[in-house]
Amino acid sequence: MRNCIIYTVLILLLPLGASAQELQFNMLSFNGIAQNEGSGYFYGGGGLETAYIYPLGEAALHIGAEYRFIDWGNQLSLTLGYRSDYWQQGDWSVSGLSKVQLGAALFNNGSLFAWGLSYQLQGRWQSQGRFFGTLGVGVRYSNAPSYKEFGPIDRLWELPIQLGMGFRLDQKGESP
Amino acid sequence: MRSLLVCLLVFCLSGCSYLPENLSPNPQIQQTEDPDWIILKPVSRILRQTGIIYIPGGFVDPHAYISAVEELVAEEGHVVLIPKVSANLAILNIQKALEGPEIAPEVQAWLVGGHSLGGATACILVEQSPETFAGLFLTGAYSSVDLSSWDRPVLSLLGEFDGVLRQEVFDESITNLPPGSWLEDLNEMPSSPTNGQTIYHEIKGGNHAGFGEYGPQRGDDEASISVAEQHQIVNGFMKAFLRANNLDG
Repeated sequence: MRNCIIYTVLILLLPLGASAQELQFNMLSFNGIAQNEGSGYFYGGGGLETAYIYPLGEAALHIGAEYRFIDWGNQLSLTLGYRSDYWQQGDWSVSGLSKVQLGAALFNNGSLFAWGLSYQLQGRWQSQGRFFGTLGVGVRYSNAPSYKEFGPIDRLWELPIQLGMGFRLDQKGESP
Repeated sequence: MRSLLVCLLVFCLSGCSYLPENLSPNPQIQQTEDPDWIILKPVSRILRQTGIIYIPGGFVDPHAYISAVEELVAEEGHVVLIPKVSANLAILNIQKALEGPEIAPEVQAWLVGGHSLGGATACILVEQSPETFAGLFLTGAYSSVDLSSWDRPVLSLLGEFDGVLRQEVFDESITNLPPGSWLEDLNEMPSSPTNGQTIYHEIKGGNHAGFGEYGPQRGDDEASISVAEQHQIVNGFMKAFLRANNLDG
């Protein structure tokens, strides 16, 4: 019985080992265009994200953690995304990344739930080895509903710019 | 990789800010807000010619200072601007307060200051732009830059039970501010301008968090007066300081 479970787990893990999983590190800069009190440019803050990417044919799953500065202070989120690959030529490719952010606005006297939705167009250069670099622009909606009790601004629309680098965890997969 | 994650975790844990308490709106104050500023103007009072830029302490939500300055806005008629800064760390947005005068061009002169790290940031700002501001005030703060020869008035208020401010650093940095004198109470406030001088006062029974309104702060000592009482004392000194320096017109 015990061996059966081990073999089953190993078989289930086999595709993970055979696919070109990736780790990616992103620097983020958020340029605000509107919030629930009005519109106009504002700088929304910077952020850092680390993500694990699991390929699914012409697409990929994206699971990450993001820390960013935002109107209500500091926010830590789990990010879940789906990347669709649109175009590829040689070492270059373009993809679209749809993500949801689920996290917390960080406060000592009780952190507040915060969430967001984003879509990002991402260009990518893949080296001959494991390394790759990315540059992305997109649009993001963020909301910290309970912050309304403390300040009037609890919803933001921003245009994030992302600069990233990463590497494949193995070399068996194809370029996206 | 592991050390990077540890650093990220430590920063995230230390990145928690203090949320404000007591946010009941004052009908005598017109409060507007955008992503960069909280702007407080009197509703029924004639606007004074001197405005106040109040820079929040580190990791404190800027709304936690609204109640602290209510009296200066609603009863005295000063415009008060509270900058909203990245990560709630004013030191990351030192230059932002320089944009304050553009927000309320009807104001003729600006007093800049702040609480804790916000006060230290205000000192850096004054060092960088000494002609922009008519005076400086510090609450639970000290200057890390040399302003000893600055020719404008400075007010520095401390809480008797401030457990966050490092007293030895405060003592060492006194030489960074213009030469000053300690006042025992408000009656000792000079009636003539205090340009090139620092007025110090220790608030009996006050603590560090009592300069804002965000509950107890880690590392702080317990105050023996209420937050409202501490605000009243601070505002009393602010009003007298402004009056002495002809900034209450």
